[in-house]
Amino acid sequence: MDLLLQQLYNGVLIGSTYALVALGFTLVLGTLDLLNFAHGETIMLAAYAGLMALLASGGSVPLALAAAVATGALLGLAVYLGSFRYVSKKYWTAPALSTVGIALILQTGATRFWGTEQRAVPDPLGDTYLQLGPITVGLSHLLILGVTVALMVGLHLLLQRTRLGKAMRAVAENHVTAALLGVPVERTIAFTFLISGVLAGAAGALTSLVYHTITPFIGLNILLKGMTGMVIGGLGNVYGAMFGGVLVGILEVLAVGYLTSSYQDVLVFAALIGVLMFKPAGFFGIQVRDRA
Amino acid sequence: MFSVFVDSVIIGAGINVLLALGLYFTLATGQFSVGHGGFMAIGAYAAAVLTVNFGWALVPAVLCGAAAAFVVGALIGLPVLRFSHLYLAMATFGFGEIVRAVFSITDSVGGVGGMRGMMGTTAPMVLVFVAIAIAFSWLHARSRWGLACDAIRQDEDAAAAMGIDVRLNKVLAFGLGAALTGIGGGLYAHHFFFIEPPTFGLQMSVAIILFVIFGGIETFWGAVLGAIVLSLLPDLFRFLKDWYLFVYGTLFVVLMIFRPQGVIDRRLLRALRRQ
Repeated sequence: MDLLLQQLYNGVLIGSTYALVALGFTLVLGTLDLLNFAHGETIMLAAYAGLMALLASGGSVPLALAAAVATGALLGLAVYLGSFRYVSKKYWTAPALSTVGIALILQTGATRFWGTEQRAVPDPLGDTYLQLGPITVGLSHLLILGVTVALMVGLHLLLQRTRLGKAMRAVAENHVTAALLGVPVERTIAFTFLISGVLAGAAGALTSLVYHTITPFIGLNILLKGMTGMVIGGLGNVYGAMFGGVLVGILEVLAVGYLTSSYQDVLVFAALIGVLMFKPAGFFGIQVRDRA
Repeated sequence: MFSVFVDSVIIGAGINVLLALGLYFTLATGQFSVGHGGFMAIGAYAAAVLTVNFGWALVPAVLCGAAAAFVVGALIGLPVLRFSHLYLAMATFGFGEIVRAVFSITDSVGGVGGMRGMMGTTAPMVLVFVAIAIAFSWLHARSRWGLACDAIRQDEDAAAAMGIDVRLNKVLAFGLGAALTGIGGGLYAHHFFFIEPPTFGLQMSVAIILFVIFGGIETFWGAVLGAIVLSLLPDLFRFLKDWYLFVYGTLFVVLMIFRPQGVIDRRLLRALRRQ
């Protein structure tokens, strides 16, 4: 029982970073119907930027987070300019493939710059652990959970309480009507990419803390987990993504704990297909919009 | 037939043409698959088990691999094809990853360690397969069946109203595409002597997509040309060394801005024919 509780806790911890990945991905998908395949590499590069800032500043966590978030935001804008702004929307495959191109550019750039070998990520908060009943909690875990929850609450407030959030929801509903009603559509779209990049940046810094190592090749795997979480929660649904990401983390940790670790991926992706078959709108999808 | 180098270039490009045509048939009915690496894996493993464990000759083994991919493709197609674009992309992506994960935990085919001992793919053999596939695509494009696929791609509801069996055509197209990709997989396994599950992961599926999109999704010639050009690029741009993928990525970003429909479209084909 104690082991199960600890496993569940670890699952929530990993899952909360997946939830951030899913959030950033689903924000762009929900607003623009765009699969942003560069999202994983944005996370990877932000993780490296965070690590560099951490090493350069001698272990300053706020600086590392800021560097990662700034890198993510810049790359989000770069994806907007490279893959969306000037790409014809007549072919829905074109912007998505363009993001694959950007992913290749970012990954190759990272391998050229930092090499292909693993980099250790030091834990700036040290080996301080708290014992909460049966569960062992690291100080860095509290940081991860704290930042994740803060970002989720922030995103919720942004979407529901601000003009920008209202504009983003309007654009997601219908570009043309939003434009007719005076919403500055292009600027709103640019902001959507920016915010998605900020979430990716934070996700990068936090996942590198969870795993203690980074390589230039982590982007794809993290993105896969995030996408799965997003589908489970319902495509384009922000609150579903939070739930789905955490669920993927728990599934993964339980698979490692009670089966063998090689079943981890089978279980996660079987959940993905199962949800698509039987509940295609995800757990939180209210209606399935036909995106033909 | 030729020098070893030329042979291996022909085999590599030919296999890629088969993979690309496989995806083209799926795309021809408006279905987008991000899981064709999975069908390639099924073709590759099925053919490899038949030649290595049962001592079959290569060609029948490859054809059986294609049949296996067809069956799986049609079975997957039945429930999955009712999804619209984004959902289908996610579902096929999940399928590809599951195939990869299942082969990784199946110890009888080597598991994560991969499988070896396959051989025998020759350039003439690949060329014959490619010629048959192209001839088939050419006939398909001119047949009522091809016309039906085209109609479904452009407007499913209108096609159904014209009396076209949308479901049957989509499932057939999906299975057929899977079979072609499976042939490519079988030949691939027996050319490289060694296969492991990660070979057929998302990267392979995306590579196949890039072949088709680069060439153009409106005609099968686009898939053929895209596969050939992108197969030759690594040899032509050898001087770029480690920066190769960087340039490859840039190429795609620029291409999507200036020619989102791919290099070859129907207008270009018509213009070529008039000359």
